Amino acid sequence: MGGKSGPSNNQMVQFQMEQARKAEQKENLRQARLDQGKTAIDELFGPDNFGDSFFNKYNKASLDYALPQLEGQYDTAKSGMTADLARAGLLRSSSAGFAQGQMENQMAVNEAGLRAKADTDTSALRQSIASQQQQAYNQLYQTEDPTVAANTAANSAANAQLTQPNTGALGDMFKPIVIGLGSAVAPVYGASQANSYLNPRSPSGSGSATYSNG
Amino acid sequence: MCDPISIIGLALSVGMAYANYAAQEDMANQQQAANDSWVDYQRRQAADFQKRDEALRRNAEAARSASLGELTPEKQKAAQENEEARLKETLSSEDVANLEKGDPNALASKMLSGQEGAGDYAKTNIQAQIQQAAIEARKRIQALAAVQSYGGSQFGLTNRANTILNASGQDIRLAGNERAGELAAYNVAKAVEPIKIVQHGGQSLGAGAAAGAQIAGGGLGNAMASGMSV
Repeated sequence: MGGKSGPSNNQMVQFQMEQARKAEQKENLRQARLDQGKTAIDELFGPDNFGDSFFNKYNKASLDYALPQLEGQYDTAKSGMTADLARAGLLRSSSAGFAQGQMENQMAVNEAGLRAKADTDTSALRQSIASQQQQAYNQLYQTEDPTVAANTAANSAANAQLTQPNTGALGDMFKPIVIGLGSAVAPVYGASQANSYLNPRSPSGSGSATYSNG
Repeated sequence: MCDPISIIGLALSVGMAYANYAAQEDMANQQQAANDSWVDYQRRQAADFQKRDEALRRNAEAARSASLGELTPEKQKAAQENEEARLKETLSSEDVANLEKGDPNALASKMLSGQEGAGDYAKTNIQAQIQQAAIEARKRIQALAAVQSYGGSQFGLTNRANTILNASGQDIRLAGNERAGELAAYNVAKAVEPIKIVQHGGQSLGAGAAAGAQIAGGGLGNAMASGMSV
């Protein structure tokens, strides 16, 4: 007769806790992959591969292309100036010094301009490499998107909610026999007894009044 | 009036009521224990999450403050001056620097062919003008170095700041991403429900009590009817 108490959703709760443990484990693994990925990207774009030597090489190549052209023009201009000064008879004059000074000034400033351009170009190359590194980071974070992981974990538990079996108490599927008998007999027995008492005992025969339980 | 059936029915009702009460008390105790266990679980999960979240937040904060520390006006000024000095040396050749200093060999190398036989006065005058030209050129180059050091050069302020902010930004992003992941995992744990305790066969007790009462009622009715008998 005494009803026993017990958990009705034990399996579901255990499943939910298991999902929580798995979500935590997956998150730890995801973070490990993120760390590993970031380290790999940092190494790939780090000083070993894209250090000063890499950029200096580019800078030098740029200058090796531009400076000989400048020097060639300088030599040509210098020869022309020498001839012009000689023709004018001014080769050993202060006018020659002025002209030579102008030429050396232009040479120095032009060379500086080319070197500055090479440095700026090298700077752009550094930015380009940094941009590639950022793209690599972006792809890493897209691959390891935490919202995707979160939705997956949450949905797996939510779907389980939808498909979980009914673990609640079924209620009374069978009534105890003793109760069934009592319930069935008591009304009939009571009505029969009442009728037997309600019937008047007249000298001419049995009475007509009858009690009905229905 | 008080026939044995009625007494049995009443006793049965009382007994069942007590059994029902005891069962409900047991159920309440079990539910309380389950709730306590659930609260304990949630408390642990929350504490773990808070701990991890705070550690990651600190990582992000460390990256942010470190980058900010590298971008103070003093450090930026020092960085700009270093870059300016580097560019001053890089943008002009050693040859120009030697001319600026008045190095005799450098100045002699700049003399035109045919000037070797010139007098000392003329030579000195020509070389002085070449040196002066180098000095002026170096001034312009220095100005160019200063301009470049603020902006587009390799280690100019723009690049330096971008490099520092990119590095710290990635650390902050990593921490933020991991915090989001931690929160997602915690939300799964937070959704864990408490155990629900139910009473199996609880309706039987009620039904039993009702049946008992019915029996008792029947007996009482019979007793009354017999009392009314003529």
